[in-house]
Amino acid sequence: MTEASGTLVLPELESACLRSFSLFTRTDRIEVDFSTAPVFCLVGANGLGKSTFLAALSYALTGAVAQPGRKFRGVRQYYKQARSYAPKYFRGRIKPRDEESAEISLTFRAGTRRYSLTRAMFNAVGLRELTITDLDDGESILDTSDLDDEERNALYQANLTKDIGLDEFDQFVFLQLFILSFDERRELLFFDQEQKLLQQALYITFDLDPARAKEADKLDRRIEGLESLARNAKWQATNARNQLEALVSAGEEAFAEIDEGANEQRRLQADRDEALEGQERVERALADARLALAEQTASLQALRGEYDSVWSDRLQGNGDPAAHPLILATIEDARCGLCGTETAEVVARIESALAEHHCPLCATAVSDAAAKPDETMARLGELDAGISEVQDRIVEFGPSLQKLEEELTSSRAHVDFASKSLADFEAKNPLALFEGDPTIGLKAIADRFKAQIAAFEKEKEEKRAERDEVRKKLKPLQERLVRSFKTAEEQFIPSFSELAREFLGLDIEIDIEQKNDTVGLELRVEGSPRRATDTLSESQRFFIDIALRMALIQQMSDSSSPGWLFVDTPEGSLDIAYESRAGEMFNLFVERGHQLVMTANINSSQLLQRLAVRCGEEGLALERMTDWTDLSAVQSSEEDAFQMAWGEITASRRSKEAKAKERPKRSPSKR
Amino acid sequence: MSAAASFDALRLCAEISAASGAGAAAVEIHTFAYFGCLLSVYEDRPPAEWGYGFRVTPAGAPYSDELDSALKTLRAGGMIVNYGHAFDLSSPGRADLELLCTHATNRARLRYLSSAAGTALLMPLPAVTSALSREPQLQEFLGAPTSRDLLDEVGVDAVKAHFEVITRVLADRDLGDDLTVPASLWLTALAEQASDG
Repeated sequence: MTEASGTLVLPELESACLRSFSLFTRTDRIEVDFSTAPVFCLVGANGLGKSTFLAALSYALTGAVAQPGRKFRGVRQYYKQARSYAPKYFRGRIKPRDEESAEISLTFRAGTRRYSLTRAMFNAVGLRELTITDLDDGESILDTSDLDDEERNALYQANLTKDIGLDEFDQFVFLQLFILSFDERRELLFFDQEQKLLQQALYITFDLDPARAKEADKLDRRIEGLESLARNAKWQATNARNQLEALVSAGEEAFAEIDEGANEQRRLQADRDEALEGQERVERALADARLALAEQTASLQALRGEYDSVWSDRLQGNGDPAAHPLILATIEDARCGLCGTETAEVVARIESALAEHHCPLCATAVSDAAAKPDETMARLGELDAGISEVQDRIVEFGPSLQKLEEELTSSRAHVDFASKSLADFEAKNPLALFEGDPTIGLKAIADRFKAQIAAFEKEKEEKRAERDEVRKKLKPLQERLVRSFKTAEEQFIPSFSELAREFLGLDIEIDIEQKNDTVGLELRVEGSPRRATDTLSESQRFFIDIALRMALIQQMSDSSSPGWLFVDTPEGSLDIAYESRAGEMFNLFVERGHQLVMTANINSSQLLQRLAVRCGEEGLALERMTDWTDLSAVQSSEEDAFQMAWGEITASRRSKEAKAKERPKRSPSKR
Repeated sequence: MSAAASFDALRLCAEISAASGAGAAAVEIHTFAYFGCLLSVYEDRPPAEWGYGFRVTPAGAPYSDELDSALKTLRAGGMIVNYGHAFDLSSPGRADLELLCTHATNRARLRYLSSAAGTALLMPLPAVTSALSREPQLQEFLGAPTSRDLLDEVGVDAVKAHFEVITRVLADRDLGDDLTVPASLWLTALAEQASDG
């Protein structure tokens, strides 16, 4: 039999009360008394809320709920995440109308103090009530009535941390969620590949100084962070190296042709530039020609306008009556062109009027047609000559313009061809682009990659060197842990072995092992290493891990305060023989003075029956969930089977005295 | 004032008067001016180069505002005289026309006008104006309630389609610069089309 030699004052549950917990439909207030027996077992069918009950107890204690699948990366970080997960966990289990009123009250003992607290289900960082009483004199040692919920919670955390003997409340959260509980997450300490959880548990259990456990946790996280950075730098260096190799591989062929390629690229570029210059030259000539044509066209328009204007001027004014065919005919024929009268007098009168520059018909004065100068006609002649000249010039523009337009079309085609040839060549020969440019040449790119690789390698080495430095700081802590373990192993190993043998029926030993950054445990079954998970069934691994927790709790706890273990429906798929043995192992834990808070399905599991046999009515408090909540339709239809199983369990409990004779006598427990 | 329209009025007045022996009616001057313009289109000149435009009257005849204005101005200036509805050149008009015909500016249009008017020597004047009224766009706008501009893009395409046929028919004939033959041929075709229709 082993004796507790630890220094931690682990708490002991006394009672709990859940209010407005909607999941439990049959009652608004559930009260549980843990003080009547060392084992409390909540028995119920699937899906009624057994795991939620255990999670609620842990939440009351810590304000945190462990999130399934969340990886452990240090106690502080885990607590923060578990705290933020709590409201999400309860939101689906408590109806919105009850969110404000839902709360849990808990009373537990830690050493010589009794804690009574009430925590709202949706305020992880506050306490509605807190009373801490000195058990020696029954006096309350704290008045928290004037504090707000968060201040009250802070006070609770500080007091409990100190009373337990830890360095920080985070560590208690770690203990509660990973050591003092084996819940539905089935988080394994021993069979976790990295054994980070186990290492932290070992520090808290064996090193005896919580501050060192905290320091080890911090250094461990730092090492992990630096290793991650080093791995990242290494990956980047490898990446850069691969790129460089690809470049060099491509470059080897390219190097052979690079001079030729560069020459060709330059030739094509010169060809393109020349084509562009030619195009610009033709464009300028064409623009000049078009401008000149526009000037000639404007000149032609002006001349035509003036021609029209001069012609218009020429037509202004009265006509010459003497030129009128009627007058001419009258004078020539000496016969009136209007009435036909033949008389010389008429001719004389007409000629007289014309001589006096009057109209022969109406006697109105008219201008002298003969005096009208032929200047306008001469001017029209000049303008016509001008128009003709300009038109000739415009006509002359035609062929030259056409020629220039043809040249431009040809130049553009040449530019297109030269540009495409250059682009095609550059697309096929990208390295040729860099030749001759010392800043972006192939060599420069290779050099840049090399510099990157060197920088990443340097960073990797620096991070590894830094990691090694941190390792050096961690090493004394690890060595101290190993020494502490060795000092304690005389107690711890038999304690664990007894529990494990009780379950597995084989000789099981464990030894501490230090590998790289981790201190873990090696399991030996009948002298052979059994770390490999395939050598034990999943259910067997669960119970070995539970045994390890039990031994750790035994080891870390002060003899006056043995601590508890929460176990959520542990029976799993064990066969009937192992179920009974598991019951024996649980009983052994209880016999050592510890408290066991567990849940179980109502079935014919030998685990609970064997535990009931061993503990009897005084040692096993059973609570039926059907008193709290309603069965589902399926479960209700099989209620007879549940009743039968329940009857078997309670019958087993009543016959403790008789059944106890079946079991070999044990050494007395420490309490 | 459009000198081109004045020249055309003087030239057509002279040509039509010579052909008819009784002066030139205003409608004949407008019609032959339009015919001259069509012959320039026959030689692939754009209608805008003619210097002035035409529209069709509700009566179905081509009409030009510039030409009408020129006739009035020429008459007021004593360049032409009228006997009733017929115009003829005055002596100054004849003298000016003689000079204007020497101007290079008028050389090209002189050829088109002479060719158009020349058809009147080959067929009766009323037959010429009647046949021309079968020109595609005039025919299309015949009876339209308002006047419409002639020789827009659609009109040019339509008349060119006719001219392509004429060009093919006369492809093997060496006609020099003379447009009278194609002009007459086209008029004949239009007249036959009228009688068939």
